[in-house]
Amino acid sequence: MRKIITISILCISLNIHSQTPQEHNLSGNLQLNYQTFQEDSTINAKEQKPYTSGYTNLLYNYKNFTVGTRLEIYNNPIDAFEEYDGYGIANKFIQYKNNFIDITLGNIYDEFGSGLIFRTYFDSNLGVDNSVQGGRVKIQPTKGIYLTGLMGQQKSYWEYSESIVRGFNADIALNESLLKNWQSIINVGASFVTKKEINDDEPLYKLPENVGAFNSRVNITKGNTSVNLDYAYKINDPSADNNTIYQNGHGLILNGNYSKKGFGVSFGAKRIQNMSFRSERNAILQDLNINYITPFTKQQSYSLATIYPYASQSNGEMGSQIDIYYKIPKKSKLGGKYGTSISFNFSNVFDIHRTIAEDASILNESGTLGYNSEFLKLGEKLFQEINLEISRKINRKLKLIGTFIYLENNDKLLKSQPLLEGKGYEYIKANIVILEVFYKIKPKHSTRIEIQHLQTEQHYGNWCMGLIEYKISPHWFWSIQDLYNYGHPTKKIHYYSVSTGYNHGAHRLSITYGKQRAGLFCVGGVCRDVPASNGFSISLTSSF
Amino acid sequence: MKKLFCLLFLCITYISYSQIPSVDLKTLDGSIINSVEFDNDNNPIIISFWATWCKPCKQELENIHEVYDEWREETNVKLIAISIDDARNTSKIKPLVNAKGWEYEVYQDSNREFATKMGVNPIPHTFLLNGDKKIVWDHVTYSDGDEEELYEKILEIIQ
Repeated sequence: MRKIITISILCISLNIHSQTPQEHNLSGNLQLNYQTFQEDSTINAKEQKPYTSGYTNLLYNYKNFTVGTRLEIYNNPIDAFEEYDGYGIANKFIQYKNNFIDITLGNIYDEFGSGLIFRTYFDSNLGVDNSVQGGRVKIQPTKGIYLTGLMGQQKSYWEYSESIVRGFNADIALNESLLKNWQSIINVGASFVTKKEINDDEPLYKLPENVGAFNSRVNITKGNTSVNLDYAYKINDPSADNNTIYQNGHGLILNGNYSKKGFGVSFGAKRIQNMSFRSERNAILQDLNINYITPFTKQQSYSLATIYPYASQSNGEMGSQIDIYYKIPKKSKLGGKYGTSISFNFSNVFDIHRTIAEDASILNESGTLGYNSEFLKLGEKLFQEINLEISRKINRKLKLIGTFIYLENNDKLLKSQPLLEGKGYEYIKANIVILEVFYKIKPKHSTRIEIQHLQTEQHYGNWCMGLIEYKISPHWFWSIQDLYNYGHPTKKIHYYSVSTGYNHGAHRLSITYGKQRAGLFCVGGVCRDVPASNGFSISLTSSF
Repeated sequence: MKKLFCLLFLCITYISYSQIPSVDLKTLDGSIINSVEFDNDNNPIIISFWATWCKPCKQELENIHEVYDEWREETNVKLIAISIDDARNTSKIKPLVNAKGWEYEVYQDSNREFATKMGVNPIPHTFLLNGDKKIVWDHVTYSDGDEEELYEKILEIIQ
């Protein structure tokens, strides 16, 4: 009864404020996952207690103030999330914002430019949460000028690092102030970030207590063409990532694009040298990253195309990529009645070239400069991909998407794939062919079929995959799929699963039963090792 | 217990009738725009969260694109597409949008601040705002035909 009264009061108070809607507001979202694990010797899946994880974000808004929190729970987590075991408040903040100033105290997520020297964010699937706990002030002194200053300590699982991160960022839209009558749109930005880490217990080396990083960027758009240049520099920062060398860091990203109706092209080139930047020099994996280095390869969405992913190499990489999008006009001979879309991607990534530094006796020797590297000289190839996708609507009911991918993944150097018994890391080359069919049976009833094949002489050999999905808009979906590793040198394995889901507005419940392959699960180039599993998985997401 | 759920449901229904939060977003040429500046002369606005790598999102935007002219003529609705792509894909958004011929307003929310404040988790997540820019309906995921439900909602609010 008391609960009912409390909720009634809450409702009434909210409803009273519906007269003045801008003043009062409560919103948020929720995610809950429950997964069971059966033993399955065919895929090396272990039995373990059911894993429950979840979080809820709550935001309360009153006039210019926002108060927010995120509660998280992890019960019996899988290995990769072990350090999250427990529950509690993972994020809390209070923010005051008007047209001139924005002040936040608490856990802060922010990104300077493209994140080359600073990005804090939350990704529940990867278990990334590197928020800075402290304070941030953003001001807009005049139209087109945006300044940010922040300071705090980074979150690592349930604890906070003792190192202090300070950051300053400026973004200036020149057309709003100096270049009002220019036809080109020019935006510039600069940031400066430092971390202060006390090193009392380091007997061998004299380590910098303060590590500073600088970033500048310019974005020019004229008509249909845009060019973006991003440069970062970091002073020497010996760490576990770079084997304690005293090399400075450099990062350069160049992007350009041109597009008009029906056609678009994007080009990018990038060079990263020793740009790992963390709150603590001994941190590894996804822990305490201050910056974010994104890979310059296509982000995959088909399951067999995600088997050999590329993760960015903060110690050194040089890459380029081009994307072309073209729509063959509708009612043309080639385009058909509805037009045909073509998208093409080519990307490659090389290691940077390294020669032994003057003060070192071997390459990358600890306590030395580590290596010399010529700016434009390429090292060994790490990754390459050609990706062609053609999408065509045949009639009102039928649509087809065909994809061809050729990729090379130098796992000899990257060492990211699970190993076969008695075999070493290999240079993997794979051809992938995918056909996706959308068929509308009747209004609101649709099916989707995926057929995929991956051919490779290396590693686990060939795979094929089939999926059938049936959806009834707007509530239901069912699907059944099987990934079959029929080319595996020792044991041929089926990874089948069945799923169903129910959707109501912004609430969604889905249940899956089946086997999941072990491997790298990646989002945006950040990856986590996921073990093989067999069991039920239930997921609820809701937004309110 | 049942009453409790009903009340909670009412609350949640009420809460979803809220105003959009104020967050700085980037335009495709790198300028900054605040979400409170979204405007459609007191006509409805659709806000759709998507990403270049999200297939159902692109399918939704493509299917709405096919009927967008009709929708605009009949209801004056405007669609604002918010890309949550991070730095990996930001340079690809504009060529993709133009090649598809989408006539939507497109902004970037690369660190997902707007998405978080709008309660977005999985995408696609589509919101409908009435003429007073209050959220009156939202929906996650996309299946063929979901746009018909959206259109019915648009017709309801313009009456």
